[in-house]
Amino acid sequence: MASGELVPALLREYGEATRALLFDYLPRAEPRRYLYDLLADYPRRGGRAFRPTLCIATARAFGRPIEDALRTAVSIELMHNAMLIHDDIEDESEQRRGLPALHVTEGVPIALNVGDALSLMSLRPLIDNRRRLGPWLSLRILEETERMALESAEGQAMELGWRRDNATDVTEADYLKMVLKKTCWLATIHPSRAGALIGRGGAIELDPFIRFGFLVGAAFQIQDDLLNLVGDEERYGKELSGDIYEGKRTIMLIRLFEQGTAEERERLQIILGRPRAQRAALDVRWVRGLMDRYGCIDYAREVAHGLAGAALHEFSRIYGDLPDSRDKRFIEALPTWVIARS
Amino acid sequence: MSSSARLKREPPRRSGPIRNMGMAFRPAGAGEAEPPVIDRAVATAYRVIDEYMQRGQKAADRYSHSAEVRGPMKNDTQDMATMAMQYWMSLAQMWFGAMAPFLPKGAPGMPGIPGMPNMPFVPGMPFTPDTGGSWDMGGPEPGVSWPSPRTTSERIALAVEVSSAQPAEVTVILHDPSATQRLVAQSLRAIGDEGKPPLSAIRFDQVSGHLRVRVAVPPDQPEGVYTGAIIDEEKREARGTLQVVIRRHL
Repeated sequence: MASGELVPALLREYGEATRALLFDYLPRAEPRRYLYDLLADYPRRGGRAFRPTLCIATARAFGRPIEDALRTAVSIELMHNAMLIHDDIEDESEQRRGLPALHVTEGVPIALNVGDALSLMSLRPLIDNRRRLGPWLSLRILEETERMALESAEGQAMELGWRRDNATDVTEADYLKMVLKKTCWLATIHPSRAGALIGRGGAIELDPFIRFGFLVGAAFQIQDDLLNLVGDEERYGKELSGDIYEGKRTIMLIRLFEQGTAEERERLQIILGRPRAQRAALDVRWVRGLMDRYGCIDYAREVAHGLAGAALHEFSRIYGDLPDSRDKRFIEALPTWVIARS
Repeated sequence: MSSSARLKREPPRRSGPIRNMGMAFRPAGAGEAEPPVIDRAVATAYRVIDEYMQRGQKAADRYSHSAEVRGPMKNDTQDMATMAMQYWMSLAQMWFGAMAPFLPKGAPGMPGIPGMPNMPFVPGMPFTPDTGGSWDMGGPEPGVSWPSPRTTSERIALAVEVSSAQPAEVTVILHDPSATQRLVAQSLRAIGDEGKPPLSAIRFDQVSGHLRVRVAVPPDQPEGVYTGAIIDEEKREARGTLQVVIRRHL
């Protein structure tokens, strides 16, 4: 199977396996209308299942069966969906996976509560891990999960803080630090580390997975930010240019602050300083046009390509000695896939 | 044919392969010259991750110390961890009980457990007895015959951390305890059975003046006696031996 087909195939296969078990962890109890039915809302909408698939593929690349990693994968997907609900509220996003965001349909208080419950639900599969993986390894994965959640919260805090304070001095390095915490830990670092722990029964040095996960995850995030500006809205599942409406400090915006004239920077700062509801479509089009004029889109694309290339280099250092397998080839194909997806 | 009109190939724009990984995914039409954007972006990314890792290593050092004095966990996982601990502690106590007649009087004991050596206790980590131990290897108290592998008069504090789902016994023999800066261990091979996978997850590090050796045993590691040399990485000299005995569950 060609590498271009392998990634979607494994995402589908492991995604289905994860979702099949995930719904078993969602109670069918009262109050259904205000809580339990809503827990399944985002998971039912689909998604790529990128995170759980990476966890399973890593464990399998190290020689373990899918069953060893499935509960951890479910936990990762539950936690991801919980964070999406909270992110959508914090970002005032209107759409998620092609449908109105949960807080838009149910209101912020109920959506917040559903997010809280979903994050708690993500603990149960990790506790159940003890039956298959034993107490020590289960506890190690729980500790890893705790670290991932904390890193993600720190990254989210950085980004929210920049937006609240209308920071205009954010550098590319600041952006990458934020992405390392906010995106990479949940999207790539934690799934890789948890998968490797399972794959090697805990006996493995985990630091190299931070490097690999960071480089793939950062390329993934930049591509995601690009799709927000230039993608197909239907396939992307969120409103185009939503990040500009939300005032997100993307690498394109940081580049624009570096390249624009003093007058343009001043106007940009005024636009970003307004609440989301007061950012007019005209303003957003102006920002978007400036990004084109200063080559910010192409610039971000080049950065993503560079990081993906570096990720491939790190891949060979971690996985190079493992025997060939479908899962190893999947991981190897990820850096290319993250920057090629549309 | 005119000799002055001889055709010549243009000199090549480059004389070797492009080995820069940042060029591997160069967008189409980006030209032959190395794009500074990619180089700069990759350099920035590595600087960010290197700084992050350094901060993480410092935090890990602090954490590993505080973990030894942390109180009990306050969540649902406490029972699970406690059950695992109790199992291994019972096992360790039995082992030391059996060994007690052979231990010298005055051997340091684990707080609260008579006859247990004073080893570091990390919540959540299985804990097994070992003959190398974490006691002060400075030698016996006056009048006590303590079987230390020490051969010099220098003192060294050694901590042994073992993570294993099976009973495991670790022995560390250092010929020169003063040279502990850059130690590494070879993969430990099973004695008498080349078919068994070696133990390779062994790390030495220095934590606040203490030498720490960490041994992680995979859950499916076959029982046996595994040994390997301890090497001074800088001088490329053998400094001692490390032995791990893995037993079956009782």
